[in-house]
Amino acid sequence: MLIRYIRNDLEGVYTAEMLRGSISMLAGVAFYELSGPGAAGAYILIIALYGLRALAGKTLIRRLLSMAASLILLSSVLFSGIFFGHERLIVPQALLTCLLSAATVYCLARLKDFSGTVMFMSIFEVVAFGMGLIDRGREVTAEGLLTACAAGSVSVLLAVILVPFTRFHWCGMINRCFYHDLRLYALMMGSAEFYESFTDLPQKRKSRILALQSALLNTSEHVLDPVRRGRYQSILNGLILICYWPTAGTEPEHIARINRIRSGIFSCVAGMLVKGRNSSRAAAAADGCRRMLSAMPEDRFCNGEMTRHALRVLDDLTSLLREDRGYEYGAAMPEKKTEEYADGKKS
Amino acid sequence: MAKRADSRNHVLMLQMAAMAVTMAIAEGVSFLCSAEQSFWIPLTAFCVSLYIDTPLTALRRTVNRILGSIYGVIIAGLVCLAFPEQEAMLVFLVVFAGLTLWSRVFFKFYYFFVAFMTATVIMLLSILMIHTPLTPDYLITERLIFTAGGAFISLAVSAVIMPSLERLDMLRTYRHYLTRFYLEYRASLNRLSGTGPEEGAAVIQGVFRSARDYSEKLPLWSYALLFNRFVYRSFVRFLHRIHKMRIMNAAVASSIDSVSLPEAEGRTAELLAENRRMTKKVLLSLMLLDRERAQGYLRKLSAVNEELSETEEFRDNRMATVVIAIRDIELDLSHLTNGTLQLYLAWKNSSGHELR
Repeated sequence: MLIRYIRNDLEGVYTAEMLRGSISMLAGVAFYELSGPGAAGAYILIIALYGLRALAGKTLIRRLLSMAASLILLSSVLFSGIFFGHERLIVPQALLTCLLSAATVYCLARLKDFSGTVMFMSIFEVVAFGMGLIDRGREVTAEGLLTACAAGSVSVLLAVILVPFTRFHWCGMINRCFYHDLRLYALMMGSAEFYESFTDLPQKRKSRILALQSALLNTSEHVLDPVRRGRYQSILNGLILICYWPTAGTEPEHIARINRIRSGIFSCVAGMLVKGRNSSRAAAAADGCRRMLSAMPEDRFCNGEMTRHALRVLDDLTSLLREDRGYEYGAAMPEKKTEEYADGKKS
Repeated sequence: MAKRADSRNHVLMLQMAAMAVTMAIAEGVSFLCSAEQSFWIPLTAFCVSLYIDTPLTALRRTVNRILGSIYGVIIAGLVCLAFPEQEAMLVFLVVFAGLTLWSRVFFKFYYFFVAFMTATVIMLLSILMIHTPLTPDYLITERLIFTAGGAFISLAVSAVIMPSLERLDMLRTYRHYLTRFYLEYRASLNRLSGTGPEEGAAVIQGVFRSARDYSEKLPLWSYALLFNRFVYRSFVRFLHRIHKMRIMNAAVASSIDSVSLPEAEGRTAELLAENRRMTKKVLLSLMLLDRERAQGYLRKLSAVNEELSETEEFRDNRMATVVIAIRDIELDLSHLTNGTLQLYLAWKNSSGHELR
């Protein structure tokens, strides 16, 4: 689950947002409890919940300023919505909502930075009008609402100050994610039946393999160290080419040989990563695979290219594992599970 | 270029008009409704209309929104019934607010986000109106029926205002990937035969980057085809095949680099040039949905490839991988020519559904 989560949020944007959202809501709840009874108190929660969505700007100061401006706009829309609701003024309400919602569509297409503010102005307008309609006793007063908006805004700004970054790097977790997915990919391919062409594989398995390849390449792009990133991409290029290696119109012996190399290299990569709690065992597995590749008979079709790709993958992976000595690459998934994953039953 | 910008402006204007009309109707209906939380109607209508290009994107968002609302109502309903105290509701409000933002990570599962958003809003409303009895009946009427109502308004308005572009999108995607493949293929063959431009060769990272684009569009096409699973699966198969063909291009490029192949000469160079011409003609025929012509060119391509397999470069192993990859691509082209998707698109085109 954690690996899947990181894979989907490699830049940490949503995680930072979640942290800010939780802090803002927590502060909102605290202010709500402290504000005592009062119909307008609940608007603290509304502002704290939705106010954060308008985060724009490159520096913290700019973000705080833009947030303050957007909170003023959101609060004014709350006022107008409740006023129209109290007075049951449907025509101006409908006009303002149409204008704001059409502006939202425009901003989403042309002015991305403003889209968050305008979108939530539309939502606030709709919700506040609804709340104003059912507030028949007019319990929500202007003073109460002003205090609530101020408290809600403080909650939001507090969250922005406490979580000032908009994205972060997952550091070593990215490598863990890469090794985990690489092992899944290797297990899946290592256990795949012999095939002439990649298109012969069942649809579901193809989609799964494609998704894993895509996730691996995406993860490798987020590695900061250029040397490591280069190695990751070299491993992936080699493995992807081996996975799709062409065999059209060749003899059955050649196809069998290609499949043996393919399943050998993938099983070896999976073995290196599963057993790889120390680099010497991984290196031993790689040596075994190298011996297997060199012991294969000559083939009139194979110009040794696929073997060269396979050897390059082994070299890169061995170097990586040697550098990472002490890091438990096998820890992301217990060995017991590997067979289940190899069957493609789990994601 | 200017034409494309005009068309984009036109679609944006239509989107804005659809949104404005939807909201006007939804606000009116909500106002006339006597129920307490009828604002769910315009709220849902707004959310459904936000990112739609066509009526079918609206349908997709509607389905996701209704599904998400049902899950959200179930989650929040269970929490409200199990922990009716206000303190507990405040705790769950914070938890659900965090989960709402967290769930945006799984951008493909829009209903996931809607479920937590619904649960958060129900928590908020249960605190706002603590005097209201929060029974399952109340939750269902106030949230689900209004959600469905709002989504229906958005759907109906987009059906009237927005142009239905999905099938055009499908043919455009089909042509786009065939063209992309050809440009990469041409670059590889030009390197071998030493004729024409060499830029635009296949790079595995690039192939996967564009694969990500289509995998994001796939769920949309399942709606575009109105749940015609057979054609949808054919479309997925086509995308897998074109992806594989592009990787084959990368294999050709890697083979040229790894064995430092010299430029082909004489008859081999002529055959490679002929192969490129025939492949281009097959692909153009496929793009024009002319299957018979594509089959004719395929036969010629097969004869060229047969002769390539007899060349000295192939026999003495220098160009073995390249020629095998070329034959693999020929096989894939033959599958594309006789594939369901080509038949489907050709049938749609001939039966009066204008695709271009």
